[in-house]
Amino acid sequence: MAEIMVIVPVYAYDVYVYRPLALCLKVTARPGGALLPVRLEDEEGDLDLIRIVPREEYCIGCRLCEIHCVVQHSKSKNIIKAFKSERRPVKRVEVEEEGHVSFALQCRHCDEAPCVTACLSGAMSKDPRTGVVTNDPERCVGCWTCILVCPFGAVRRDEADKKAVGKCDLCPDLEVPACVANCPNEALLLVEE
Amino acid sequence: MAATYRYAMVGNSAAAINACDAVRKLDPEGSIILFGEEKYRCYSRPLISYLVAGQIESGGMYYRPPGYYRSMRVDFRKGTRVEAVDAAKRTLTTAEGEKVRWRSLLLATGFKPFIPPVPGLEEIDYLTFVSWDDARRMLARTAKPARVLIVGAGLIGMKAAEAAEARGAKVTVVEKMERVLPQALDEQASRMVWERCREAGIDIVTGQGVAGLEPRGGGKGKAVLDDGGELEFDLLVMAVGVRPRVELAEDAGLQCARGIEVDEYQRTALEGVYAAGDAVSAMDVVLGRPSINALWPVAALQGKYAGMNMAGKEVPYPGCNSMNAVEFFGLPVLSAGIVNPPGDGYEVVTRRGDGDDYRKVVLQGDVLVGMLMAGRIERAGILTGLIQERANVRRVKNFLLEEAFGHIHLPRSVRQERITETAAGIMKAGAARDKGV
Repeated sequence: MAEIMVIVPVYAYDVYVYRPLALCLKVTARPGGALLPVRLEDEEGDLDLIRIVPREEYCIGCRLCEIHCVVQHSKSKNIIKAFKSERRPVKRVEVEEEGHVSFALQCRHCDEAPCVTACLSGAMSKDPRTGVVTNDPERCVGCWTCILVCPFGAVRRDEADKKAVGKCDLCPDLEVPACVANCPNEALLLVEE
Repeated sequence: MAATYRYAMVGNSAAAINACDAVRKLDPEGSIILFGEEKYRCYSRPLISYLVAGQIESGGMYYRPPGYYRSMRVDFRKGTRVEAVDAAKRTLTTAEGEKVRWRSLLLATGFKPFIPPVPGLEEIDYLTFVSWDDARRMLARTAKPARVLIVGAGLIGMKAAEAAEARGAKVTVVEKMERVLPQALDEQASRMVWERCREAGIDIVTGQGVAGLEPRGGGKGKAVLDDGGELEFDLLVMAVGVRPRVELAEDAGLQCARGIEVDEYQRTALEGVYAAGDAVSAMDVVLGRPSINALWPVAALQGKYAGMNMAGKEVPYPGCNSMNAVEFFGLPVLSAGIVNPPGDGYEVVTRRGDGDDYRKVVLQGDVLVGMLMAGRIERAGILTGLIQERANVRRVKNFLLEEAFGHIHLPRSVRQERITETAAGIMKAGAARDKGV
């Protein structure tokens, strides 16, 4: 757990000082991701109710969640290529920070999702089975109505491929979403209900 | 003997389709019949400008995937107009004379373009720009370089202008008011949009109406403006405004001086008859009174609540406000609530950032009642949410215009409740993961 000790200069409080350091350790020393308290699937393979809960008392504003979100949604899924050579996708999680308080926030996958109702093209939908709210970039025309109505500010313009929006998709290719898996402090928790 | 349906929907756009979705969620069995006047399955009306501009293909116009009606078990009557409603007998009659009985009825009849009386107009084959057919006609008539004259610089007129410009047409817009998008935007944002349009080669003439028209055949003609100026055109688009379509509601016996009036459950004064969408005057939470907001997201929301109530789940419509998301030549502008305060008693704060970054909030005491963001629009919905909730923003007033404004500025207890408690649960399974949810 040495890496966690290194990347917690909470008192320095300048992200630019420790962000490169944290990144460096991330790619070399911790390929497996953080420890997680929950599993998603029970033994029968049933769906479990999950949600991502930010814990501001542990968030140091390092923004590794944002970085790994970008990497996970990049073409190559390679941290160097994603930031240095490819068209960079938009981050789907955002750290809010003011003074000593910070936390990471992504789409809440609302029950009565305003973005789904407001969507002009029908690109934004809520899966009736899983409840996950996803945007279909093929049908999205980039009218920005979802940005206008999301009370969490969780939808952003993502014009990497075409004019469209990007939002948290819970990393369908991963067992644990990248932001949760790569938080050094467990300031993002995956909680089962 | 006429067929009987549990639900009958008159209309085939945002309100009616969202009503069907809401009904089916609560009532998997009840029979639904839906009447669409046009020859298309439900498509997204606001996308016609994208279609004309070549930004999407025809297939991208559809609001729901193919097979939608069948999968929702909706008896879809395409190209069928409902002519009359008898609320006492709970029947309706189509233009073909078919009679259908219903137990609850939704009137989602939408809007119609308002055409002002202009001398000479009736002899010209002009366009409105509100339907897929209009888009097809514009595509056909701009196949060769054309001079397009658009009357009205509201949302429909400006979108028509942008689309025609993308077709290579020489576009002129004539507007009676002194600026473009006078209702949706404030002066500053209007200027910014105007500037973008000017750079793209669109001529905009404000403070002028069309006093008369001289037809030249084939839809071509000459317009004479109020000041005597003359404009030749190959294609005329009338986009002066829209009015609620209330003929059917009036025929059924409803008073519709200002659109179809509904209560908080989207019920009209007639037993079993509901209404939603652009024809309806429903609660505007910012104005504090019913108002017609003929906007896609508002229609969709009303339809959803009408559907839930029709299916027997009594849920009051939360109300909405005047919301607009537009983009002209790469300049996005989002607005909600009151952007042009109608008098004193409002506090207006604006901020101009680099380039096109412009934002504005309108407050009434400690309540946020309006916002506008141009250029950088990220996280605008946080402000829209506060407007919609009529939240007291006294403590965060100074942060509202900051780009980083967010839940961090709210009291910790409020923030925690919003983020962790109000969020819905979501499910994720191994199977869903493997396929990609």
